[in-house]
Amino acid sequence: MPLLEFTSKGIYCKQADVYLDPWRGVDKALISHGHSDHARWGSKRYITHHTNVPILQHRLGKVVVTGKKYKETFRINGVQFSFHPAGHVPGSSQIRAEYKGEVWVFTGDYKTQLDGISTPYEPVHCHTFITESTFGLPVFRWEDPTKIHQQINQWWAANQAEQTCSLLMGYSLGKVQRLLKHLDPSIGKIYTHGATEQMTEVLRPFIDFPKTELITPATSKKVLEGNLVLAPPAVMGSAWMKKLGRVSTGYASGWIAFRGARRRRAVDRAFVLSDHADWEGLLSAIKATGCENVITTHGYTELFAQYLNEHGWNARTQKTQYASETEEILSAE
Amino acid sequence: MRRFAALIETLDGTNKTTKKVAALTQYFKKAPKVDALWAVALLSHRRPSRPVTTTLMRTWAAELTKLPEWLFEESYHIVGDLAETIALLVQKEGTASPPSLKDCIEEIIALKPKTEEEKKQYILHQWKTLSHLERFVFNKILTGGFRIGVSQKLMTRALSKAVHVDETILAHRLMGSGVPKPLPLTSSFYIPTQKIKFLNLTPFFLPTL
Repeated sequence: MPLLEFTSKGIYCKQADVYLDPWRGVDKALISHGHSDHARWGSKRYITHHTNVPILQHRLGKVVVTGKKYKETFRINGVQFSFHPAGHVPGSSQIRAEYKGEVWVFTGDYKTQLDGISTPYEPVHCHTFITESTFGLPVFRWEDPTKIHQQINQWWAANQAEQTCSLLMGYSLGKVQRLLKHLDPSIGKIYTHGATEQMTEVLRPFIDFPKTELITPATSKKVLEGNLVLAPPAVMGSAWMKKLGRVSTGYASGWIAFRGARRRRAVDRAFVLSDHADWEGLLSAIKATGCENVITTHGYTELFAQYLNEHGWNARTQKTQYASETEEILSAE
Repeated sequence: MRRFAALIETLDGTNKTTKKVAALTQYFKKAPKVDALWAVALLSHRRPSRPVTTTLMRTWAAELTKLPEWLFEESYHIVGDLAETIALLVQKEGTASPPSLKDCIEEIIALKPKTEEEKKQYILHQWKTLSHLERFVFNKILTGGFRIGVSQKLMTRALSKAVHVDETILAHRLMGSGVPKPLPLTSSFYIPTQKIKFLNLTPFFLPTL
């Protein structure tokens, strides 16, 4: 019997009777990170990395949750579990499970690029690697993020010169904080949407961010001129956005790597910045695990698995309820 | 080529007409005239005839990127645009500067009678030495038009601002259908209005000014 199996409730370890990122309520759930498709409501007990504890409490309300350190091992009915950095968003972890010498790793979501706020991804040796493949196509290759952050600051400075407000959008957990971390506060003031402000507050004890100010009904258009507003993508075209006055819109995501996707978004500036591994990132991560078996869970699963099969791995795909378009889902929050 | 590629990026990245006109005007003012003329031709959907088939381009791109052909085809299917797919898949090697727009187009025109191997060598060389954006523009010149939300009217307005010739007169001068070679149009729109005769481009007889 495989150490981890896929059931209607999620990834299940029968020996330990625990679920990994389940999509239904279960007794005991190990959680890779705080995004809503991985950390879902309804389980009796959650075990996750320390940083995710306040995130889960913020998103799921009063839940019983235990925090663990990275690489801290714990046993459940003979199965040894541990969390390892996944570099996706703060607190994001790969979950390692070992039983009788056999090692499985479930990645949750991950990226190999450094983002300045998440603990960098670390490869974990295993026999079977359950990997996301959100951007598992060779057309996805991320540029050096330092360059993108420079472009964002230049865009802001140019808007500032025209006394226009810069509205920079990205999803609430991870992306927005990554953007905030690299903004240049010498250009102007940074304002936030409520959803952005709340999640950033949750993460402030762990990460040093520039100062932000929440936009309230009392915030006038005048004070926003030349300054920057951070908000979730759902505000695009909303009544809330119209109250900001004259804005230049910017959106940061991996999904806008294509021209068509950029044009559909209809934003003034698109910044290709993703919290998922690109094609090279996925391949290098898989190689570094030394694994024989790969199970692809979400994204371009079939194509990626086919490529891996042609290149010496034993790869298959598995349907899960993890969203390959996390950003679209979160943007609706 | 670099300046033209940057123009395409700006035009593609904004939905605001005023910004598009401003970017075009700026380009027409600053770019060398021979390049600006070709830009006018390309933006009014007059491009050199295609020297290679897209099938050949797909095969060469898959070969160059060392990707299995099925994966290249799947990528193309998902991206939805061949020029962009190739631009995304091929990686720049070295730090060579791109040719001017004029040179690039003249080279593409000169490619037509050459052998398949010569065409392949030239195109692969361009793919490897151009930046992502320049590679995209190069492929667009090879394969088809630029549908970037710039109408002939919009372009004429920008050109009018750059060369200080009335928009309606320019619009008339820009009529005509032939594929330009080796220069897309005469450089007539740089000549002051009073001195120029209408080009014999329309089916109607029009008196000289």
